[in-house]
Amino acid sequence: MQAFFETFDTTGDVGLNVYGKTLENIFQQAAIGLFSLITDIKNMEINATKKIKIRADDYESLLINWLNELVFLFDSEGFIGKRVKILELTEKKLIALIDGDFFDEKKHSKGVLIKAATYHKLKLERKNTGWKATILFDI
Amino acid sequence: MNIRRIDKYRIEVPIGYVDGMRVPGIIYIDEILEKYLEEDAIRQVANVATLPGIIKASYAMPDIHTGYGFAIGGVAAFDLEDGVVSPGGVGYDINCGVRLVRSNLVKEEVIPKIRTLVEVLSYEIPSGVGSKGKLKLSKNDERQLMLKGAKWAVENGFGEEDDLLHTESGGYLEDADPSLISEKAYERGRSQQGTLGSGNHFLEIQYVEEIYDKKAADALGLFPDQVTVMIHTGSRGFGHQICTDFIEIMARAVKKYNIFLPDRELACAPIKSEEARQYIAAMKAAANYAWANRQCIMHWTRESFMKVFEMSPRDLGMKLIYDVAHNIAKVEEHIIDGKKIKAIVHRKGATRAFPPGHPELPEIYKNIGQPVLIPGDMGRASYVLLGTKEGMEESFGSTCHGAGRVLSRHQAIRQAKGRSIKKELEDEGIIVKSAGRETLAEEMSEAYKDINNVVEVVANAKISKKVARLRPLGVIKG
Repeated sequence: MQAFFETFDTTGDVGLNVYGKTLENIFQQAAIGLFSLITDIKNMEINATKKIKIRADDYESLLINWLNELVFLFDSEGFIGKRVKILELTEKKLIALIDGDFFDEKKHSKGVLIKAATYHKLKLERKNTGWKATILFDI
Repeated sequence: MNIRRIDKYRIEVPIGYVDGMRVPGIIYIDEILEKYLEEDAIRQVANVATLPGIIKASYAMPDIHTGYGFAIGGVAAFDLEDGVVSPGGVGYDINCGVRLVRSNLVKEEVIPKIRTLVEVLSYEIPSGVGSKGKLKLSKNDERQLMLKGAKWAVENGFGEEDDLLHTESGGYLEDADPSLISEKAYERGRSQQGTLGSGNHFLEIQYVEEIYDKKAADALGLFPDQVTVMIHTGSRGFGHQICTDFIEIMARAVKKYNIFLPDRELACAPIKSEEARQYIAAMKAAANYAWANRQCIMHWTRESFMKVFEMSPRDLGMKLIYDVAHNIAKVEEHIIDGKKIKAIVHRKGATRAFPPGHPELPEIYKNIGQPVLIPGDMGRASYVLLGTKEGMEESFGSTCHGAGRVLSRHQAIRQAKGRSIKKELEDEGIIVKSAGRETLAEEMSEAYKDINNVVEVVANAKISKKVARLRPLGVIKG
């Protein structure tokens, strides 16, 4: 199964359903999904790489902390990822490499402003064929 | 247990609707708006009623919709002895709020220049995803701003002393503690001061379409056809990061203090705990950031008007009427069963609405009560209301905060397909400019409940009183 994400929305906010064979797929696709909400990443150039380390107490918190780290990177530096590679993933730790670019109003479209990834209705489930995650963002 | 209609404007969510409720829920809603009432939102009102130390009832306003943990439109007061404080009861956008500026201009003077005005304002006031403010703050600037809020802005030349008198809490809360703010929040806050943000945030040029209470309108300096400016924004990434940081801290507190929660997003800490003390001091820093933000934006709005109309500040008469927070928790005095008590009142998508004579009101509004500013969607109207004695006694001096969405973003985008929302609004005499690729579709009128219906409920339930209705002429969206 090819890993992928789909967006859905609730009355006020926006969410991602993420499908993948492995947890690595889920973390990777969730990040791509988040970036795609902020701007069109298809035609984005790659001009920078970031290495990210995240710690948490369980996979769910790890997923939320990971996405909130990406929200922080965008908000503080304007960094947007296009390609994500998960280097290491355990229940308590994630290390990833992200290739991307810095947001430029002249080059990039303005999508959704994401305040945070939340625990609201958060799901990280094992399915027959792999994993599925549901994440809601406050926008 | 089912919900029960109490009267035309209130329904009760009885104890037992969910397990562990300590008090009932009360939702201010009539039959028109009840059609939009989501079951998830009702459950959230009930869930809040399970939290320790909740007083009287878990309230929700007619613009209610499902939020994170607490419903948007929720009001909950907790005892200062055995109650809790919860970041989810404030929201991610700490001190998201609204301010209203009057002017001496009438709509006939502004309409011929409205396009230029919208262009100038959208140039002067950064908005939308990824926009950066004109202010580059040092760490020390940020610290001062966190401590002094709108007062910092005024001291740095963005506005007048008089503005502070017309701002809830004088534009800043005391005892904010910059040492509790994470490096990440500092980082996110550094370049976002003086920016509008995105989503439902806006800057709107309006005119007074109707006056319901002439005496109160006179006291507020409002008259028919007069042009006003409304600014709706909050604490930007700075506040979002503080909420994110404390949701994690509170999740640990819940385990530490053995608090049973029906929903993880209700994470909270006992009011007397160190975690609660820290959250409150950090929340105050974010609240102050937001007041400074609205103050700076108002300052550039005044400058833009001066430029476009080539008029002096005195001739323009752009005085701040009032500024209200609608996402905040505050310690307040209330009377419960004839006894004066202090409580921490959480308002998430609800506005404080204090009655005439309340000691926290500025002298000029003592006789009429606190001005309450209710933005509607960009095609319909906004309202100026006042706090009432009944509201003080019933809903902890609280009322609604806006229209509340009915369509999700995608539903709105689908319904707007093939239409030009910009053109439709122009045909109605409203000039809009937005930064985001889909903002206008997401934010179109049909995506929201009719603000007129929402205001009718709070006015008829007497938790606030109508003064004036404002109609948009020009809108800047993120």
